[in-house]
Amino acid sequence: MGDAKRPDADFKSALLAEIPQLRFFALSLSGHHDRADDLVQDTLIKAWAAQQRFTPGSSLRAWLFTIMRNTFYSNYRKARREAPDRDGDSAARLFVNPEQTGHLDLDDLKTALAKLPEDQRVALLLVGATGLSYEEAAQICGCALGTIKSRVNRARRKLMAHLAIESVGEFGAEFLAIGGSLAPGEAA
Amino acid sequence: MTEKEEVVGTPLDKTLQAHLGRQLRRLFNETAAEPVPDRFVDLLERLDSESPRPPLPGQARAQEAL
Repeated sequence: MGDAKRPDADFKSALLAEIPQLRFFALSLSGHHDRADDLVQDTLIKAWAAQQRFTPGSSLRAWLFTIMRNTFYSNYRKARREAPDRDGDSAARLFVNPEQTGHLDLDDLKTALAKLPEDQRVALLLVGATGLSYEEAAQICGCALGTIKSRVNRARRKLMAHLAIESVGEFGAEFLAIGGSLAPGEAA
Repeated sequence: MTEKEEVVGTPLDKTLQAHLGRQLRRLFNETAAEPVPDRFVDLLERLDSESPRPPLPGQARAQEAL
């Protein structure tokens, strides 16, 4: 085996394999496809330049997500504040790829996700959709474990209230009771 | 805020939470199933061909001195 694979070739394949996850997290953060893919590109460039700081054996995904989140907050969020979306505009775009038609029955979920506060949405998607642990999500978001758990729970309850109302036809009218019972505890 | 929020009490809650969990996974799978755009494949190829080989630990200091 004289011609062993170069370490950076391995790193390249590893990065390539994470791109679908990176695109998902970029969408979770930024809300729409064009900006999400720019964010993925910036993240890949930074990760490549910093590859010697990656600890082999640790989670590449968590490392990349941390870079992405930092990049988002230092560059992208500022730009968005300067050009605020009209109300409902970003909600309509979140996770919606204009060039592809997704599952129609996920549209309600996408709309509900777009209405969540950003920190809650990101926490819920990290834990609930990408399958990262609470510990990894806390590391990526730079906050305490308890904070992540709280954000996930708040996000989950809001979405459950939303889905309960949407699902009445599917599951029965008793789901409405859950939606109604959530409101008092929520401190918005 | 309170610990109470962590507990998902009734069976209906559990059904809904499982439903939500499945929806979130499907949302993830839908995004992850999209083909990787060429721009990212090209970008990684370019980075790989442009960047010098990462120096071995013993060589790092010599390079920094330049």
